[in-house]
Amino acid sequence: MNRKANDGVVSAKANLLGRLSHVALARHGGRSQNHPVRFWIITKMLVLIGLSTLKLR
Amino acid sequence: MLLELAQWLEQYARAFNVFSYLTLRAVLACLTSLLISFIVGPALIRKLTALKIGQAVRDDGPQTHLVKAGTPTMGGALILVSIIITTLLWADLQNRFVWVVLVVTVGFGAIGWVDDYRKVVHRNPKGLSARVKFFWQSVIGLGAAVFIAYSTNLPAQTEFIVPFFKQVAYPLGAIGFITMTYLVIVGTSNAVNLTDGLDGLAIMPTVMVGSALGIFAYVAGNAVFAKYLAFPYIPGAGELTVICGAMAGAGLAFLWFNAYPAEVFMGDVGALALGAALGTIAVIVRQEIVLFIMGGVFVVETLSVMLQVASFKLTGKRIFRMAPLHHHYELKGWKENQVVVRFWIITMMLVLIGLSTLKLR
Repeated sequence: MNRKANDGVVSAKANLLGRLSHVALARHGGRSQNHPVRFWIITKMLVLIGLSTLKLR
Repeated sequence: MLLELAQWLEQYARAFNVFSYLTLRAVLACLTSLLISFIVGPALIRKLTALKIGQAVRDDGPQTHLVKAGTPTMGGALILVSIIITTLLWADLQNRFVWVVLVVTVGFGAIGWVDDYRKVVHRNPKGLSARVKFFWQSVIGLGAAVFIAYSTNLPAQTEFIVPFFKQVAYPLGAIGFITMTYLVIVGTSNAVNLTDGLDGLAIMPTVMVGSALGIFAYVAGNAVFAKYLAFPYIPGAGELTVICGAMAGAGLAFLWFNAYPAEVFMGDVGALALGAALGTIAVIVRQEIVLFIMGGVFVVETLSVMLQVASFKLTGKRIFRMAPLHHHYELKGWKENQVVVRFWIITMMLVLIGLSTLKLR
């Protein structure tokens, strides 16, 4: 029983942390699930800028 | 416009010569359209939301999609505006191919716009009837095909090129070329439209295929590279690299807002226009089969709809749980994100196979 109760507390803590991180991300500009794709787009932009140095020198 | 300005300024400072290079203008076009979309995007989404231009979700679709109801649509207008402004800024406006692609893109965008407008603003679920939509697509597609066919100077510009075989090229003749061009433009446009059913599913493959076609356009328009790679040399086709760059930039910026969970959908105005643009560019650079390979996701999505309809009409049974294909996988238990990213990965592989035909021939 104790072990079950402990597991319950741990999972509740994990849930709370998950929710808090989600809230934190959302507060900083939008929905957290968007972030990976947006980071890829930023990387692509940086790659393009890098590639432009082939000619711009 | 900026090219002409740079050419004029070149007499005062040699450094402006750098803008005559296609590769640089393509990269700058990409960054410019990205910037335009990032600046205009949030305001457009706010405006669409305020005007209540929200997507109606099909009630026979997956239940998980019902939460998407009301998400602003017609965001494809953002892509079109970015592409048009960027192309006018960075491309050589004396080039006839640039104008053909722009006119086709805007024309198909206009058809999509009317369709979306009727669906969303007039609350008419049918929008533009399939017959009327197809009629206008045919008018623009045939117009473009006739113009390209009768403005070509070299036989190589109308030959049917078979990838992987250096010596195989079939002369199509005027009628064959016009038919082929028409089918590719209208077919690609509708294929992209069918694929546009999940967040980011249509735009990323469009960006990847468009970027690859930009490389083909650059090679076809460069006498040295075309000869080295045994490609048909098409004078002026290189300028399409700039449009491909603009398309890639506008598409990536749109993805910023369209990534799951989407803040905006492109609607028919974006999907029809982008598909038509891809088809037109592929026809001009004589890479119809390569487009078929690289746009395999679009092809399979379209085939899934055709097979589903044919099977249901002939036997009363469905082949897929739901068509287009992306809904089939959703109903099999894949998460929306998984379907989208896996289709991107498949497109990336297909684009690499397409690019390998540059050398493997």
